[in-house]
Amino acid sequence: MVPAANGSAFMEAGKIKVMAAVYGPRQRPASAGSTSSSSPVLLCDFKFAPFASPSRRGYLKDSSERAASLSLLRALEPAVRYEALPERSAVDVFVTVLEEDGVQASVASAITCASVALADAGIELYDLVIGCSAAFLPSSPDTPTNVLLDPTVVESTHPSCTGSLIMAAMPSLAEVAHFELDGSVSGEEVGESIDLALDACASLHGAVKAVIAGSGSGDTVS
Amino acid sequence: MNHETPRDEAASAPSRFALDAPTFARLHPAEYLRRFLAKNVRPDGRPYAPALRTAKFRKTMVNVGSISTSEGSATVRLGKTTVLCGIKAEVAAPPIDSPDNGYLVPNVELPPMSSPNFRPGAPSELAQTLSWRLEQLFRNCPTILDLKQLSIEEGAAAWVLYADIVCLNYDGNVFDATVIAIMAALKDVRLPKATYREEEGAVTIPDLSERPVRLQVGPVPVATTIGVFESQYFLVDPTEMETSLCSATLTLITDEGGRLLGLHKSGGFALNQEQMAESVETAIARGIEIRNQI
Repeated sequence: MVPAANGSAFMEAGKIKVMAAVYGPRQRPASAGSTSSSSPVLLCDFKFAPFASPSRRGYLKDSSERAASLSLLRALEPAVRYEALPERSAVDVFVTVLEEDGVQASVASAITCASVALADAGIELYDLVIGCSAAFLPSSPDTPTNVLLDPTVVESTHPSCTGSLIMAAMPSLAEVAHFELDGSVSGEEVGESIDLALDACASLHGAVKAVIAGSGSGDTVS
Repeated sequence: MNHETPRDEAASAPSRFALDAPTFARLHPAEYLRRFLAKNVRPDGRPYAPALRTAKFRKTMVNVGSISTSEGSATVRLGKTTVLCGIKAEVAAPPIDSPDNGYLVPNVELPPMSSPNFRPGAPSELAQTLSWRLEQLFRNCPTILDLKQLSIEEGAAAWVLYADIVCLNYDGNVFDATVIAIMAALKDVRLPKATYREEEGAVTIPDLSERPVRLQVGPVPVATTIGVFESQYFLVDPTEMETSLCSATLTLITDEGGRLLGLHKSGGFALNQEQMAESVETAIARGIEIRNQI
């Protein structure tokens, strides 16, 4: 997708369109990491294109994009084999969402897309990181809550939505790399949603792996 | 007898020290380009001929309307250079000095994703320059997009079109791609019907799902950039690698009547009249080719 980068990926999930590019390992910028430590760093940058959302976004990162950058870093970090990277190096992960359909679902897609781009760049990973999102929506105040996986913007911003989550999992290791939940949700519902999200990650993992395997020499992953 | 030193070995096998092409390109980029041009070929495989009129542009692809969150969009590929323009419409008070006008706000982004040379943070000088040149093009040639059609109610409300152009992969000559993208996206714009209610002093849009209003776009400008390498090689549509070696670049913007809407030359190289005429001719031919695509 991005020939200038060491690795890149483009992903479409319904209306969501995400592009990720990986540069590195390359010289660590002076601003990144502590100066005393020589360990390599992963740098993540998440941005919505100005026209990606229902209302226009500026070119400077707003707080939701900063939060998403951090989620991306926390999700990808556990998968990276840092010991295989040179000292004082940095791996830059840049993700641009060209069209969103719910912030949580977009961040989840960004995580998946970024891990594919990392693999395409030849960065050693313990496993692919697969993102998944869910929203909690009771169909009426008295009925039990429905867990909706990969919610659209209509679902995740619905007035009766009681909460949402983003999960990043490494399915072949059966490990959860990152998990965040917002809203007020009962423990039971959380338990149920974790099982559902893990299953979704596992099935997506197979599909993503097939794409990477099919791309052969790793020129482009589409 | 076996006293061969490494030096002798090297002398007997000089091919060991021959550089492979990518290494040579990195160490001696100018010589690398020179050797290609001497063989009448560009490093990306395009034929090179001293006569500008036979010059080859990179394969240009235009794809319209892929972003549903925008009112109009277009993706343009110029070889490996890829840009995406999305236009979003908002309602605002019209400008005080021209109350029957709306606004077009072009903005070019060169995110760090698109090239290893771009850094995260505030827009670079290059990105700001590109935005400024685009803005100047529309301001100085108001017939391209008559801003009066963006008025909702004179002195009270008007559309603002934010044309954001995001570079997805940077391989030189992003301005030409940007002009194609913004024009294709403007032609793709569909606005909802908006009415101004005087008693409420507010704009109402009865049906957001219906977007029947299309823009009347005037003469379509097409930009053609030519790089000048070592004062003698004229390289149309230069790649990033070529641009970095060019001592001068020339950008010509033409409309369908074959008129010049802008000419921008940078760098210390004096063009003679003949070269100038040939450049204009090339730009006009390129304009016809591109206008058939959008």
